[in-house]
Amino acid sequence: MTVRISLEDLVRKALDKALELGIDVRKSGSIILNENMAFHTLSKILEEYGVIYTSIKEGFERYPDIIEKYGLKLVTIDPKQVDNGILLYVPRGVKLVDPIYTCLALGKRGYVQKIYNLYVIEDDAEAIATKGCLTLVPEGAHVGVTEAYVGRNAKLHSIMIHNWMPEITVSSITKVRLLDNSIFHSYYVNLTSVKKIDYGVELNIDGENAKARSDMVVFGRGDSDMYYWSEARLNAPGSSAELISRMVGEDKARVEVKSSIVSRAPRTTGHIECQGLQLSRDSVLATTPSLKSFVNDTVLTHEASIGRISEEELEYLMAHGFTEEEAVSIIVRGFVEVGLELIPEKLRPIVENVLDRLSKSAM
Amino acid sequence: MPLLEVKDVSVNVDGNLIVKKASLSVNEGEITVLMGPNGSGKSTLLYSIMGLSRYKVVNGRIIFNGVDITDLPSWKRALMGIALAFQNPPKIRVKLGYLSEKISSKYSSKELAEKLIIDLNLAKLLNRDLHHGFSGGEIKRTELFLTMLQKPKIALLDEPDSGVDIESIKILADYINRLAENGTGILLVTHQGYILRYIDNLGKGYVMYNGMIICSGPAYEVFRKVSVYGYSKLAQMHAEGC
Repeated sequence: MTVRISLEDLVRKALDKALELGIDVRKSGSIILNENMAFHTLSKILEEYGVIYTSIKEGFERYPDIIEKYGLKLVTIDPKQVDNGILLYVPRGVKLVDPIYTCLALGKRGYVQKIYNLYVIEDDAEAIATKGCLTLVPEGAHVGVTEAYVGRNAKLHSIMIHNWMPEITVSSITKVRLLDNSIFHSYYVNLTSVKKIDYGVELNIDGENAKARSDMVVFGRGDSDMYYWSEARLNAPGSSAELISRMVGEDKARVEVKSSIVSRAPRTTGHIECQGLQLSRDSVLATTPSLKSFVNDTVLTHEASIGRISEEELEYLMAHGFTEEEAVSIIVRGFVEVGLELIPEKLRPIVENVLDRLSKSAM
Repeated sequence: MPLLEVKDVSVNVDGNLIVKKASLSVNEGEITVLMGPNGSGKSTLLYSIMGLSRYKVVNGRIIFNGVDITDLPSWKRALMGIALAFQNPPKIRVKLGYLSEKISSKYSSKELAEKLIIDLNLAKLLNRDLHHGFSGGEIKRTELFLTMLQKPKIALLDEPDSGVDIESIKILADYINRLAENGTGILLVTHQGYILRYIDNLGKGYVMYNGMIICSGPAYEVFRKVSVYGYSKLAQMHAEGC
């Protein structure tokens, strides 16, 4: 018997699954299901202010000027090879206080979804871009390339939550360019195990006094093979970057995080913090912080550690009335609590909920 | 009937017998004092009453509220109403605010937590990882705070006065008095005993030396003897009938 599943069914499933993550695209956002923008909503008011939020396919056709000016500058890809993606354009001076939610969903078994996203946040503008990447099928691959331009005095928050399955392969790269006095904050967390993931963030800090920060919270579970990297290039005077990562190793997962900061301008500062918590004997955690300076007027620091939960910590919490499982959960939750204060208030409960779920199931 | 009775308890830690046949009791609303030199086994006895797994009771029984708790895990003892303020608590990468929420949701209320945070001047520590970079006084105040959040029937306080200035000792003593006023029985371990000057409802006092209780009596009297003779002399007197 053949069971036919309609596009509407898949969209509804994707909406529900995104909602489980707290990502409610119905408020303001879209679903890219395989190669199609299957659902899209944006308030009329935002459109009147000149905000563009549409599929990248439509972007290529209707906004070639934006694509030409800002797109494909940091990445080399063939637009014809792209299945879809999103274009977010926020004009000069427009500050979006509400998040825009994008859900990238795999809905065909064995499908390789190729995504290109372009965010353009013009001078003095602000945006909160929230992405939930998920799958409705057990096997497939997701290749995502995101390019972001953050203009002078502009601000962009990028929150990404991955919710895959054990047989999904993921390759994701985000490249950002920041101009004078701009701020970029990226927060990443994954919910589930994957077959393999290669995830990277490149921060090109080209503007004076621009600031960038990347927080990555990686839960290595199952038999996942996970590689994460982040690189900040301090190219302008007074610019700064922080690359923060937390890895939790469970089961037989292999997690590696490489972070690097390169300074080429005076009065710059950079800090790398990589920490790993190994919960299982069979997991493998690795981290490599790297600092490089071409100027003598910079301060670059790093701290890295990998460890396990000590008996002393467990005993302490158990003496306060927590079972061993609860104590582990509390320690894991505390360990991954990083960068939350920088997440816009409206999104913080979503991320906290994800971290609560992850911590409760850690053991 | 005492709220807590320790009967002939011997405690083994990593294969070494640290506490030898110690007996003591604590009554509701009363502050019982356990004194002794460094390394005499006071903390070990406290940890064994709390049920920390490294501290094995190899002889004797611990009775709390009429129930034999000798073989119960620490978390069950905590839920029954026993709380421990550690002398040297571990640093844990968990925000104090988050942990206090977790504890107050188990035992008490958000309102109590908020009040204690103000009273004990802990607001600025809430967003910091527990005991990371805390001063001596901050650690003691935090430990007392988390203990009070548990609204315990028995509070085991391990040297709350060590390494803190005289002003902080007065503040801590004030809160220990308040705990006792609310009916909590307290077993207060102190090395030097300065804090006793500010404690109101003192009950019995015990001196532990080389793992054994060598002297007991009204806490003020025991403190006076320690102040006059010192621990070594008291031990000698014990041999001759302290």
